Amino acid sequence: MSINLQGIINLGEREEYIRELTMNRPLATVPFAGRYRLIDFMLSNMVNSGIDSISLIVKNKFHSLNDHIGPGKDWDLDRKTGGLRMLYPDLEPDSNLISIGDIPIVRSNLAHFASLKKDHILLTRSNYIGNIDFRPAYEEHVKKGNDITVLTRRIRQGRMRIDLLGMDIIQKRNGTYSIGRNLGNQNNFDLSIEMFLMKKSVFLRIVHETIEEGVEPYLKKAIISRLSDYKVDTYTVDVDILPIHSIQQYYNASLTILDPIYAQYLFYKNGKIYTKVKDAPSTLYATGSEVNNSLIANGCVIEGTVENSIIFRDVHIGRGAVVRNSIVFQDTQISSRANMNYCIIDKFVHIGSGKVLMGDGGLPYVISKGASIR
Amino acid sequence: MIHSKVVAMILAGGQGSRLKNLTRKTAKPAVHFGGKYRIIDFTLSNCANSGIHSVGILTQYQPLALNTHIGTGVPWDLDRKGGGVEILPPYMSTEGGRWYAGTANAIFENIDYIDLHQPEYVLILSGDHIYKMDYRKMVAFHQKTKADVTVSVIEVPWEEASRFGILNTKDDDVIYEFDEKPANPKNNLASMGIYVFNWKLLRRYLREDHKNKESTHDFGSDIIPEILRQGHRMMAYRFSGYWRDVGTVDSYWEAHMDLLDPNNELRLYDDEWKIFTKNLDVPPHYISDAGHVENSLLNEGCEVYGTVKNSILSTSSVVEEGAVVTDSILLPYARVGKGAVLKKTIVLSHHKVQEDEVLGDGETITLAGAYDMGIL
Repeated sequence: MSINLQGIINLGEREEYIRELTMNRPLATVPFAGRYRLIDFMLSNMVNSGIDSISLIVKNKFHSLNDHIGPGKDWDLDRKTGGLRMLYPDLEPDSNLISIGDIPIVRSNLAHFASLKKDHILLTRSNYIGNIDFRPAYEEHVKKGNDITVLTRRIRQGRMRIDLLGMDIIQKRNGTYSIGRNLGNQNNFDLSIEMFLMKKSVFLRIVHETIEEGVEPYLKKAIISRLSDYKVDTYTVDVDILPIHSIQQYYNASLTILDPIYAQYLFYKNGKIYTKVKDAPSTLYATGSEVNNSLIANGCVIEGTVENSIIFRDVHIGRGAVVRNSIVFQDTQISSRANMNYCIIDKFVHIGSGKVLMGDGGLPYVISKGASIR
Repeated sequence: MIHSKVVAMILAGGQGSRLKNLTRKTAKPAVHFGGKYRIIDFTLSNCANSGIHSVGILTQYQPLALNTHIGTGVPWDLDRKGGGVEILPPYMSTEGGRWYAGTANAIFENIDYIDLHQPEYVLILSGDHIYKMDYRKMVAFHQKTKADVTVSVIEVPWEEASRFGILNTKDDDVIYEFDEKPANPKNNLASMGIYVFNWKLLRRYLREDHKNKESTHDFGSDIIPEILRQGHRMMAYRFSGYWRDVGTVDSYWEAHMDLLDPNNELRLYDDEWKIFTKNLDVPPHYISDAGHVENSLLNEGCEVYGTVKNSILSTSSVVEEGAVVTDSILLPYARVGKGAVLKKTIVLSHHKVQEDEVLGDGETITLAGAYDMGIL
């Protein structure tokens, strides 16, 4: 059943720490888990929570996003009422520059936000991986009459967690909440996972005020700076969520899903994860192939050895090739006797026979899209 | 261009009783095949890839799985305005209700559907064969040879010809006689049950056949011989390539084993002629540390903690620790319990093989599971 909640996914994400994988695509469409793109998880979570109207705030690299999402059919979002809407920035006719920040995109689409039929919005990012039911948070948000509910994850013994450095943390002092940056000094804290439930009226007011002031170019910062003006509360999400801001987080998150218990949660808990259909046949394992602790998508032909790895659709791994601790994107060819460890290989790459590529667990070696190593 | 001239009619109402428990609760065209497909996906994808946009599917026996699978035809891009896919079950009329009495009768009862599209040609197809075929080429051949009827044929070994419906032809592939399972075959061109008819001609013969009390209302035994008797021009269109009628448990199993040959003629990995099917939204498959897979085909959603050899694992089937699966087929959501040993066994969908259960002697094929609902 649908709920009185509009999904807004803000794709104005920072990409500088995951640059190699976002050369040709926004962070939202970075491939993940063998057959998905990052945004599939947030879209599916929303749809599985009963949200039937979703707006995407789109910054750049539209092609990859359009190609993947289209009219939203694969998420059941090709609807006459609601459904999926992409919000593009206006390009100035005499300039090809895209303005800084995401507020200009919001400004270009003010009429869309004003016309939304729902009374509440859920503002999120595309780069948090999880299988989240938003309904309990939404129900509490409505029941408490909050203007803004900040979704959080409770972290214990977080001082040692290098992966959480630089992420948003939320704290309450003298009755008001504030959101800052984790510098690793605190041991127990609440992480803000950049998901906000808001009254639509409050969202619109913040947006209008920010545009009128003309100073703050970022939506998230605009909201954070006004928390003290509103009735704010937090809601602790109790499922595991993997943030993906950097190559290292991306790599670690990918290997996390090789744990069958985690995979069971991520792919099934509150509903399935939907993605664009590719119609690839099943994967063929030749005699002499050896595959262990790996996640393999359809359409592959595996003749070599694969260990602790994730292989996307339509990959060919030749005889005698060895792929360890690596992630191989779709349509890539690993020729016979090639050997790789700790690598992330993008789409349409050709690795010639006998080639050796080694990264490190702390710094995986990334081969960019379309490269040919012969 | 072809779509405005051709309507395809897929015969999908047969029981396929020789598939035993596989078809007790499911029509044969809806039986799972090749890890991720159902048998009818091949014919439907051939239509889609051939640019045929009006497809009628004649259903009768146990249609639930077939209906839910086809839906509005989205996977085959057949959700179209002014055409697309149409499921055509038997219906009531002022003369009462009646089941389809034969393949020709099923088409006769749906003359209105075909007339709606005003086609020049009608393509009669069977929903239970595994093959890839460009129907455009067959229609072009039909036009070029100025045929009234064209029958697609495949060369079979002479010693097996007596198991097929054989078409006897003159040198220029003009058909002069149809021989159903001849004891002494005069030719080795077997009918594939695929016909192109000039619609006006077929329409006339269907109406006449309907009035004929002697007729069994079957294309092979009644319509084709009658059209030949009346001296119309009937051509044999030679098809070469992979084509299997998976009508028995043995042939069903063998066609699966064919898929384990990376160079098999069906060429499933050919991007130019994809086989489409309904998407089940499951993640990639997982092979654990202890898992071992060789010479096998695995689909999405599978989990392997045991050993799999020379086998096909369909969508979301699971092989638990210590289990050994050899020369077998697991249908969707089948589960093989810890320590179980399977040889030459077909496990029906959603069936669970118990821990340490031993199935199959490696000689004849064992079917595990009482019936397959075909619903996923």
